[in-house]
Amino acid sequence: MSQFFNYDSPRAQKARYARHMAHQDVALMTLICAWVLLIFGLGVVWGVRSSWGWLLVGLAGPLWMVGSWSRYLRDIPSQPNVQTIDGVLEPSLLGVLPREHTPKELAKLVMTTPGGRFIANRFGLGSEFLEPLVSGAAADTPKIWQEAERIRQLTGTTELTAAAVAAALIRSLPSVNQYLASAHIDQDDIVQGAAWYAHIRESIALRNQPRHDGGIGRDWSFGYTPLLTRFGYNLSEMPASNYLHAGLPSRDAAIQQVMHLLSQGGRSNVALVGGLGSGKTALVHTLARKLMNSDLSIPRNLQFCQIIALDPSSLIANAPGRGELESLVQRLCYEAVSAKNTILFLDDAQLFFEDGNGAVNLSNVLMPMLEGGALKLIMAMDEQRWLRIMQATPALAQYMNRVMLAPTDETETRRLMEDQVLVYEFRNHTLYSYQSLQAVYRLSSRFLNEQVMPGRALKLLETAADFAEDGFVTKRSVEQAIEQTQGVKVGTADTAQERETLMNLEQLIHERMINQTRAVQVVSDALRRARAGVRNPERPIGTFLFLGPTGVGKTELAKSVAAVFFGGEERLVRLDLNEYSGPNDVNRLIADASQDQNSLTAQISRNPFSVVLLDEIEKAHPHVLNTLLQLLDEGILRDINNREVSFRDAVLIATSNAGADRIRQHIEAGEKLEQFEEQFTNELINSNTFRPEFLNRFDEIVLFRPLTPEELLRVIDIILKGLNKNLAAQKLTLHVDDDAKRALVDAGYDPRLGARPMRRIVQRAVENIVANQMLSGQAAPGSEIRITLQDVQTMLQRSKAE
Amino acid sequence: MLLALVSWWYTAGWSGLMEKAGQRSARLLETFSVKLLLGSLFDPFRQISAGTTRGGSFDMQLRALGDRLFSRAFGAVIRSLFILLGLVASVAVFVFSLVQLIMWPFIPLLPVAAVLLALLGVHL
Repeated sequence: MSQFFNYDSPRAQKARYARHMAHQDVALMTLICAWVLLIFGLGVVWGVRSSWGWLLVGLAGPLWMVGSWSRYLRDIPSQPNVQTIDGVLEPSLLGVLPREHTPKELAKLVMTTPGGRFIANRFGLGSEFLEPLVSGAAADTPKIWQEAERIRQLTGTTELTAAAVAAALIRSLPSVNQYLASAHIDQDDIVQGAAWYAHIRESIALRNQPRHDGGIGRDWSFGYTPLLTRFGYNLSEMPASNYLHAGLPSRDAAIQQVMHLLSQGGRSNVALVGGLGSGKTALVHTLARKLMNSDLSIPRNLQFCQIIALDPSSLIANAPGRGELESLVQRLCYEAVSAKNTILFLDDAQLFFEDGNGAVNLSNVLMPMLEGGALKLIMAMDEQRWLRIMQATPALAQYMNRVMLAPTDETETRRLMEDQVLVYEFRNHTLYSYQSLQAVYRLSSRFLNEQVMPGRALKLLETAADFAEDGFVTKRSVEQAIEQTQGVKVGTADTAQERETLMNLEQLIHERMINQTRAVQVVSDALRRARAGVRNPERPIGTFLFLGPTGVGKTELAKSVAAVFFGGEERLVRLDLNEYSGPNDVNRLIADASQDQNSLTAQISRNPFSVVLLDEIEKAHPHVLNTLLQLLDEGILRDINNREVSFRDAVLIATSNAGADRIRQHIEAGEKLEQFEEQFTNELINSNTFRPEFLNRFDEIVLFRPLTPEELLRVIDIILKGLNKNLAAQKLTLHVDDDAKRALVDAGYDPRLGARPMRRIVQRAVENIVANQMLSGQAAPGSEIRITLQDVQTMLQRSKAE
Repeated sequence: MLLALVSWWYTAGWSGLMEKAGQRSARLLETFSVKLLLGSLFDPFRQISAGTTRGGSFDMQLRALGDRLFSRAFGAVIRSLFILLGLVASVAVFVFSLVQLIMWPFIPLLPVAAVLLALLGVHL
């Protein structure tokens, strides 16, 4: 195909005529007028016996011609054999192109066509963006056509769409990458956008083709199915919205396989096995629609077969008595066999083969029918259920041919979304940007683990419509949908307040804990990296091992992170690993939410955006530690049902008191943490406390040093601050003298226990005094309670005596 | 534009009309399921008597045979009727299309002919 444009080619001329003439209304109105004039004219000639009626008849002729021509002009097929660009150019653009045009003029004209506007709107670029940026030199036009032709070949279409021309113009911009980057896209995305537009045009053309549904006598050779109509849904008669619109290679192959299995003699039954959301039901809907078309690719014995899905709830409700259900199902099966054109479909087939609420075991009824081979049956279920049925009723599994339905890959999911988005747009009066579709795929893969592709992407796509801004669904709308439904933060920090928080994380954390500056620093850095979007998204936000004596702030730091960054201390998932010291405790760790709501996987499935605190990790069984290895490495843990649970939005903190005495010895010897950190880690490995491969998987191993009496004074201040906060509700303030605080520290100081005794001491000495004063009426609302050294000493002596 | 219209009328327009006539007839035959009905002319009508009689008494089998024969005969009559209807409709459409094809080249001449007829005072 050359890069030249032949203004005088018949197709170009036709497109120009079509611009004015090829409107449905024009064609219809002129043809109606022609008929009216013809009938009226003949009426005048014959009825009134006036020869002037012929003039009306004569007028009908040109009108008829115009109407017919207008209808013809609506369809201008491509002529790929023509060597100039006008042979394949989309008529809406071809009809407006002047003989000579610069890229600038071309850009202006492209934006008047649906294809050009499609690119401008879907990418959020605006229809005015292109014209000022492209070249104004006519000599550059052939290059644009050349590029457009290249895009046409890349997208594999016959027609050169206006969207492809718009894409070519964008790709010809001098600083295209920089320009596109500001819209969060690249050049490949623009080509994908052109392919999307071409696909829509092809789908519309395909839909407008006549269907060959067999006509009025189609079902006369097949039996009536009154019972099945009552207890099931005829998928073949359902509206077209439930089937797969796009021709997806993996799904087409599965449909072919199902058709082959159903058409062969003998046991022509299919078990469609795939994860939730893999599109099993949609595939059967597609098959139902396909079978109702006299297509040569359909085996003769399946042509015009109807697929009826049985409704288990309706069956159970209508057959309450003992044995009634079995008899009813038997009659339904006989009816399906007798009709000779009916395939039964058991969606969520486990409901028919398991005893329980809303379920019933019909394997004994169905098995003889399946064995005979007369009944055609399709079952759909997930792999776990299939395995369970195989285990419980191996004979049943033997009669079925399993067809696995794998999740769709990115290309297929994108194609499905592109089709489905048109339905959602029509339904919700919204417009989805291209970037929103990218975000849907990325975020649904990461956060919606309860389903597989394409179900999870379509689910998020639909939810995102609720977060549209001015009817436009953007990348941000999708992020908000995920943030609201999953309780995670996925976008980069975008509000001034959040940026302020991130920049002052250390300060905010230090409001709750004393010293341990290095620990606070490494955790804060990890959180900042996460919210700036520069971290590795395939791993948790941060994985830390906190080592140090008890009461030095390890747990408090985890709580502080949960409160400051994740929005509240309830975002802390805490597991005491001394409770996981047995080899079988792994099962408890990864238990399904339905069995144990407090298992690690269940809690993170509910709240993926959390701090996971694994306390006393050295006490966990090696099997438990092995299980945690994958979690530390990839941020993924598989639950007991082999479902992936993502920890990629969590901060993982493991704590241990191992080697606490050694840390104290080093500190007492006057060494700084940084000086003996490496040596200390080696000691832990050499003493077999931790295996090196385990320690290596943490982002940081942070040593906490024992608190000094001066630091404990600040801990007392924090505790008193909390107490004052509680008293504020009763309009009281508490003041503790400095020497009294010192006495509290002296009384509670124990280098082995750190800050832990401080809270007990404050409780014993301070809170008791406050309580007594309040109850005795000494502390009236609005007053200040002052606690002196003497008060503290008295209380401490009293409690010691007790 | 007028030239383009007239040249289309006698070339692509006319040949397109022939194509459409063929499509129309084929669609009509499909609407009446002519091909399908021919292929299943003697099948039992709606499988009304297709129930199994294996293992039944001689009386039952005889009755089932009678039912089946009746169903097939009834089906053959209904199907033949619709095949006939389809063929008649198809022929009618074909004749209409043929007339349209013959008339087509004269439609551009209609205004001239109409003026002449009016001036000559021709009545029906």
